[in-house]
Formats: sequence, structure tokens, C-alpha cells
Amino acid sequence: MSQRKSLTIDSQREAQVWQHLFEQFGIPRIPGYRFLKSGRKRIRLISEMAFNILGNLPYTGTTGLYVGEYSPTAFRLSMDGAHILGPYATKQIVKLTDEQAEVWLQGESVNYEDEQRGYVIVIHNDTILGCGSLSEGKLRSFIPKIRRLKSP
Amino acid sequence: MNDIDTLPSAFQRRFQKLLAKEYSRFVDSICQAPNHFVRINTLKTDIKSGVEHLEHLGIETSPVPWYPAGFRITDAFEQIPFTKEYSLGWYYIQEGGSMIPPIILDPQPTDTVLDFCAAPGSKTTQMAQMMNNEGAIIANDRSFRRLTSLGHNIQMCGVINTITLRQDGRHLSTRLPLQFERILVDVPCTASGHLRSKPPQVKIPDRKRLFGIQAVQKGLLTAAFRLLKPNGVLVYSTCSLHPEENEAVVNHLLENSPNAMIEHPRISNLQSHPGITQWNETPYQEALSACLRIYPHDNDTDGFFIALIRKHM
Repeated sequence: MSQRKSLTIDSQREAQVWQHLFEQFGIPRIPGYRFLKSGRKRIRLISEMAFNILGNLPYTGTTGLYVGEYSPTAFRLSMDGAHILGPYATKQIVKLTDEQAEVWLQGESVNYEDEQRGYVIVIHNDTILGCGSLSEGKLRSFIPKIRRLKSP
Repeated sequence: MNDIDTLPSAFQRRFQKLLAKEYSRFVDSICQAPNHFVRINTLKTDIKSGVEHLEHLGIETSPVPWYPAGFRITDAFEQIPFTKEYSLGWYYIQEGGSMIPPIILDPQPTDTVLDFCAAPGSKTTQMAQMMNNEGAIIANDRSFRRLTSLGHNIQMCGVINTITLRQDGRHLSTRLPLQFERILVDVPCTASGHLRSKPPQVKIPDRKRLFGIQAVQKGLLTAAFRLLKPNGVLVYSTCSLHPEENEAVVNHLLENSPNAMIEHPRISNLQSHPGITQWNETPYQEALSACLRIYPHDNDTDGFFIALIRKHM
């Protein structure tokens, strides 16, 4: 792993990310949470105190938690990004049945009719499963391969 | 599983010397099948929900007495990786003894913590949940392969307060412009405490290898101690039971750092033995009796050694 300087984003850009999360999912700015840029689109979440230390480190590896990809049109939450930020969401939320949740966690799309479109936070029995994409009656799964539900 | 009749004579001599009257209890214990444990990840769920879901799936648990988020899995352990909750990061498979060093270090949400040899991240992610994802953890490891596992475990557990570094810990004190309130030094070791899962033949390395490992351990502990703030605390731990990797290493620090003081760890509901103060005719400082030796028969876990060290002003 090459040691690289973490890519902080300026406060204006960070505010834009929060604004986008609010507009898209109703997630407000959360005190103590800071964003970092990783690559062109990837956004990582880090605690305030760890964020403040970063400037003192000449080199870092993985920093904070990968929470999603941000483009000018949408924020796609990662599975763990949905777990940590999803509880604050007020919109773009869908609820699955037992059977749908089982299939969706295996990485498969499920049929889902809803007026909402685009990236949604997926819930089953009050538990956030992750983030999916809803269009034309299909809910696509973004569960990473390594985390997909497998049969014994 | 070990067989009492196949224990090598060198192994028997060494542990008879260490354990005296308790040797037969120790041998009975290491001839048992290894136990399975999980830690409920409170960054993703609460302990009550975590246990209820396991029970609902027919997976039997019993609480680990020294840590509220730790559970021994008494039946159907093999099902856990196939559960929805495991995929979501609710459970982390971690040996019960491995949960002890972070409890003794007791990291707080306002602390800056250094995890000196962090990968694959069992103790790092445990500390993150003990800190409620606040404060900061610098998690260092030298191995690229192990750092990849650390990154995966940080992600799966939902940890946001951790920054990883890939450095040789022995040189970290010259490269890191920070000092820390708490440091965990869980050093690479011979893993001789894992006596249930691996046959003891491989657990007594030859003298050259043992002292080679010891030199690395001394270097790591010395470097970590330099990075400790005055009045800060450091936990040195190994999953080895050999005095050469434990008391001898801590004794080396005490002899070379007059401001290093051993403290007695406070932890409830845990059985342990005191550190030894002499091995193979070599005397160690009396203060080492405050260290913890945890044998498999103490708590039905793997063996561990833990020293709590404070840096006086």
C-alpha cells in the first residue's frame, strides 16, 4: 500500500456534500462527522478528532469509512454509509419483505413498485440493509460481493 | 484437539515449571476443543438486539463475564457467517482472550489512541466501539497483506475514527510528530497461547527464533513507550505464554526507562495469574508480578499475557 496524503476537501465542497445528502435523503449535517475525498468521486467519513490529526501526519493509509460516491447529480451511499447515515434520513427509503430482503442481500434485484426513483435506503424490519437504486419497478442491489448473503 | 499422550517432553518440562501444581488442569484444558466467541459490534446494533437475533436463529450464546459485548457461542457457531446480521457487520468473530487488552487499556471517546501493531483489526475495531466512534485511533501495521484485512474490518464494522499507517513500528517514534494518551502494543509473537487450536509441537520455537522475536518485541515496546504522553498508559500484550516474549521484554523496558511503571490492571470477573519474577535463573523486577498471565484453564480461552505500563512525569 503506498503511503499517501489523505485528500481533505475544502469547507465549501464539504458543505455541498452535506447539502446534497440533505436534498437527496433528508440527512442533516451531523456534528462531529467530517468528509474526506478519496479518488475522484469517493467520499469517506471521519470523526472530527481524527480529521484534526490528519494535518499532523506525513502519510496515511485508509482513513475513516468509505460512505459513498458523489457526483454532481447524486450521492450513492455505500452499504456501511447507509448504516451510519441512514438513521438520519427522512426520504428515499424503501421497506422490503422477508423474502425480498433475502434476495436483495444476495446481490439480486427485486421487483418493487414505488413512486420514488433513484438511490434509496433499503430497510427490512427496522434494520438498514444498504443502498439500492430504484427504477422501472426494479430495486437494484449494491451489496458488495464479499458481503453478500451466502447459503451454508 | 491435543492428545495428552502426544505432548512433547520439552513442552511438558516448560509448562510444568511455569505452572507447578496447576499443570494437570492446564493440560486438561488444552486438550479441549477451542471455544468460539463473537463480539457484538455496538457501532451497528445494540447488545440486546444482537443476542436476540442470534437466539432467534437457534445460535446459543453465553455472556463473557469480563466484557458485556462478548459472547461465547455454545452451539451452531458455523451458521454465523451465513446470517444477514453478520453480513451487516453486527458480529465480529474474536477470541475471548483477545478482548481483554483493549478493556485494560480502557480508551475513552476523548482520547487519541495508537494501536501499534493493529492488523487485522480485532482490537482496533473493539476500541472504536468502546470509544463510540469518537476520538481518534492511529492504527499502524507493517504488513501490506494484514493492512488490507484491517481496512476491510474497519469498513465492515462501520468505524470512522481510525486512520491507518503502514510503518515499521520500531521507527515510528522518529516519524510520527504526535504523542498519545493510550497505546496498545499487541506485538507479533509465537502465538503459543493458542494451544487448543494448534498442536504444541510447533509452539516451542528454537532458541534462535525465540530470541529473534524477542528482539523485535523489545524494539517495538521501546519505540511505543517513546510515543506515550507523560502520565499516559500503554498495554503490552501477546498471545504467547513464553516468559521470553513477556516478562523478559517488559523487564527490558523497566531497566532502560526509569519513568516506566507497572500498574495492576483492574478488570472484573476475570481469572488470571501474576507475572513471574524469575525464569531460567534470570531474575526480573518484582513489579512484574502485577502483570497478568492468562492460561487456558483460567477462563476457558486462549492464553494471553498483559502488562499495563504508565509513563510517569
